[in-house]
Amino acid sequence: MKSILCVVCFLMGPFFLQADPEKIQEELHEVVTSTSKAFAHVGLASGVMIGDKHYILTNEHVVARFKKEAPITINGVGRFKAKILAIDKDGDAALLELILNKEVKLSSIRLAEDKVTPGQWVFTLGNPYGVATQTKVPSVSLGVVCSQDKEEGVHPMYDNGIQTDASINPGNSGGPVINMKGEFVGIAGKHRTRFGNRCQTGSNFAVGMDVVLGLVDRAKVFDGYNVVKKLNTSVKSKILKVGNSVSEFKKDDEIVCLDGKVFEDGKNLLGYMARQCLHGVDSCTFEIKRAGKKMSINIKLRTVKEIEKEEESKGENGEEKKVRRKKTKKKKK
Amino acid sequence: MKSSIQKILFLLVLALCPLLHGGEIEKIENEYIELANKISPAVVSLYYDLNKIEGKKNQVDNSEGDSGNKGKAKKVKEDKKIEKKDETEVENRRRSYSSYMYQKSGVIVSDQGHILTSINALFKEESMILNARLFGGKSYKVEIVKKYPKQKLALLKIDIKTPKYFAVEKRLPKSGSFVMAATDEMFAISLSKRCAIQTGVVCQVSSVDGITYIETDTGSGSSSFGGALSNAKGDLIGVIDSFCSNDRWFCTAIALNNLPKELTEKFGKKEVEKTLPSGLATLTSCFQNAADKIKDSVVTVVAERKYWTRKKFIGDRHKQRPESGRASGLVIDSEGLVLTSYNNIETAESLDVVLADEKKYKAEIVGFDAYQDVALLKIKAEGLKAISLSKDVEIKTGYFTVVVGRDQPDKEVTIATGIVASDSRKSGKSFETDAPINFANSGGAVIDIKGQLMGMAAYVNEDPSALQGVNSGVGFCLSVNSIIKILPKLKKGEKKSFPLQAYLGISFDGDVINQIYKGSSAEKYGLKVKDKPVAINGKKVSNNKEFTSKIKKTKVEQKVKITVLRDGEEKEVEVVMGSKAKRGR
Repeated sequence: MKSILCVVCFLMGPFFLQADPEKIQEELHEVVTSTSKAFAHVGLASGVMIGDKHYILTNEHVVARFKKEAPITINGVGRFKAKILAIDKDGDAALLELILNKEVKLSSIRLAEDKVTPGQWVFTLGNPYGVATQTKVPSVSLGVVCSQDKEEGVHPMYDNGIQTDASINPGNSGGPVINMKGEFVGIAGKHRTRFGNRCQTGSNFAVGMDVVLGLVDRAKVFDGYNVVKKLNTSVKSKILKVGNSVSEFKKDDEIVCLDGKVFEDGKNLLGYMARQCLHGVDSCTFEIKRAGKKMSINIKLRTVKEIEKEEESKGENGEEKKVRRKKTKKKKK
Repeated sequence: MKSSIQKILFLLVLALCPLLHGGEIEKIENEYIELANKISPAVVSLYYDLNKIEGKKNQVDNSEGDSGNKGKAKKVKEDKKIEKKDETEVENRRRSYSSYMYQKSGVIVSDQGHILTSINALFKEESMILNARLFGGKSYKVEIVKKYPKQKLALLKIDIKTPKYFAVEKRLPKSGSFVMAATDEMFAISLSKRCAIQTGVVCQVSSVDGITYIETDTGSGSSSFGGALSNAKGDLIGVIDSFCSNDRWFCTAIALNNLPKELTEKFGKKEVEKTLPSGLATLTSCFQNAADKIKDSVVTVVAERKYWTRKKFIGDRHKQRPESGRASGLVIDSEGLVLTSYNNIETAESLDVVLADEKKYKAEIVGFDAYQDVALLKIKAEGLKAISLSKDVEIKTGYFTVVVGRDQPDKEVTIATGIVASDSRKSGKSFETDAPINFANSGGAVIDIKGQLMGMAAYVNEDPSALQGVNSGVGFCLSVNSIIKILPKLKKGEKKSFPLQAYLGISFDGDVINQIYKGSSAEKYGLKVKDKPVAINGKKVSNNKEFTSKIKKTKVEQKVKITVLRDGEEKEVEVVMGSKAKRGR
């Protein structure tokens, strides 16, 4: 009896396995509407909110025209300004931080941990040709990952970028490319034109996760790192607050240069470090002025994951203690 | 023994259980990835060795010599400078990739290393050395076996033992079936060591001059020429050659149905797959069945235009739109009411409607609304199969859309697929889809997977300076609810066109006129290229901005005196302003 049941189940299996188009579109609808909430209009172009700190990811060429702050509109929430935290000109990525005067509920999108594979489904959210400016609801376009490049420094569009056939048009720039789990996999940036006309060729390009993570990591590592542009020509910026992971710095340190290069403002400085990190450089040297004295500081360029691992190995004992404390508290009760 | 078999079967069922509960998208996504992995190894990149061109040879040799000398000098210097040299090398390579003229694709079709490609992918002169880069990045020298100009194909050969190759499917695919284009688009094989893939469906199969073409809605760049068009089973159904695509500009492939025997003999003996991947099969049949349900109600609207209207968007910028334009229409009433988009009939002198059974009727315009881009035509026919308009259709973002058009009366309908990109656009009157919408399928039906009408494809912009282009993936459809609302008005004969604005018909390069449009009042009253306007009605203007802002304030058929600087002399030209439709959003 059991065996017959098994055989029947086994034979029926493939029928259940058939994809149901209605279910597929229902799932698509869900993932699209849930991720659309994290969409942010950056000027006339696009962007997306990530993480819990109100960071916004977009293209460098989108924010290039804004000096310090970019105008942001979020559907159903309102208009804001965002500070430009870090930019990576070569990678065409920018990280912004929302300036919030009051508390608002914002949704955000997860960053993908898995790499993309050719053939995988992705979709873009954006404001192509400004069509979403009226309703503020972004346009969706579905496609697949065409290829992902591995060789560095030679791609005419983006190194390590994603090629997709989900359509990317002017205005889609800075918008997210999202996989079917609803995770962020790239920033939509460029498309290949045909004979100079803005005709869709199906070869569209997105900034890959390496560049994105580089920027996000730098912003996280330098948590609270704040730089102020000064009029003094020799000293360009000054540290206002010191993050936990970069204890080498102290408050009111004035940054003279980094690796012998003078940066006009903090956003380029973070972008430079992110790029160095991408190229496998593991440390960089700051020249600073502390209380009038010139000093040089060597900073290790570690990713957030590396720092977390180190902290885990350090903090294992501490965690155990915490657990013990809880247990003891229970006992007392 | 029996119990062990039972156990194994039980375990198998258990192993299948998680699959039953998995996401639907994940299942079909896996089929896509598997297919991509299957066909990628058999696609090659074809490129010419530009260093071996005569004439350029010396330059290359010199530069090599220079770098050699520099290299010696650098050995003495610091490491940093060597890094810099690397940077310039990288820069050079980036530049060589940017000039992507000389790189196309090819398909391996036999275990002997035979490569099939389009004849357009090759240079006419055969003195240059052709190379092929394979999956994994290895390069081989290519020998051209034979060119087949009649079939527009070429057979090449590389010296390789037992490569992975395509089985050739000679049967033609049905419209709406799934295709995957595997090409060397944007140097994919050089950069990521495997080809790039793009997916879509077959729009139409048609033949011109004895060659059968498969037109798809996948994208196609210049380097995808000669690449593979594969079906859902991973068999080769066509060799991509998008030169053949004239009006729609999709990825078009040469079908392999009618090849000479000497060519087919060279193909490998691998047989085509018999079973389709289940997910792709259901999705494809779903699209095809939906299109089949309504295809008799989709008709062709032929518009005769006596004079030139606006410039054609694609291709040659100065090429004019053909005098007779074909677009699609929808039969909404069995007694001969046909719905189409307004831009199809805007400047038409006479209109014809060709039904699915190739019967041709003269059509009259009953009513139109330019702002909603809709027009109602009437033909003297009865007993037509009409499409049903129902308010119950769900239009939600992410739902599949199938755009069905018919621009060639003697051929099958064209099918393009996509999803609803946004459920509310143009003040809620229309919705947006990412399926390609163009002149050919505008006025056609946009249906859901059950075959119910969601809306009518519309708002195709012909203006070259316009923002959203043809097939851009940003297409608008007038939703079925708006159609139901506006139909009574159209039936009563309401005709709402764009208001007219004064129009001169020139364009500027700096402050000098660089173009005068045909049929415009500028041409009629004798303005010429290289004229520089200096005054309007005696009032001086300093630049083109000032001139255009003043010209815009004039009215239709107003007399305007324009003073221009021609050959260093001031000349006064009196112009009666023409008119042009002012397009609102």
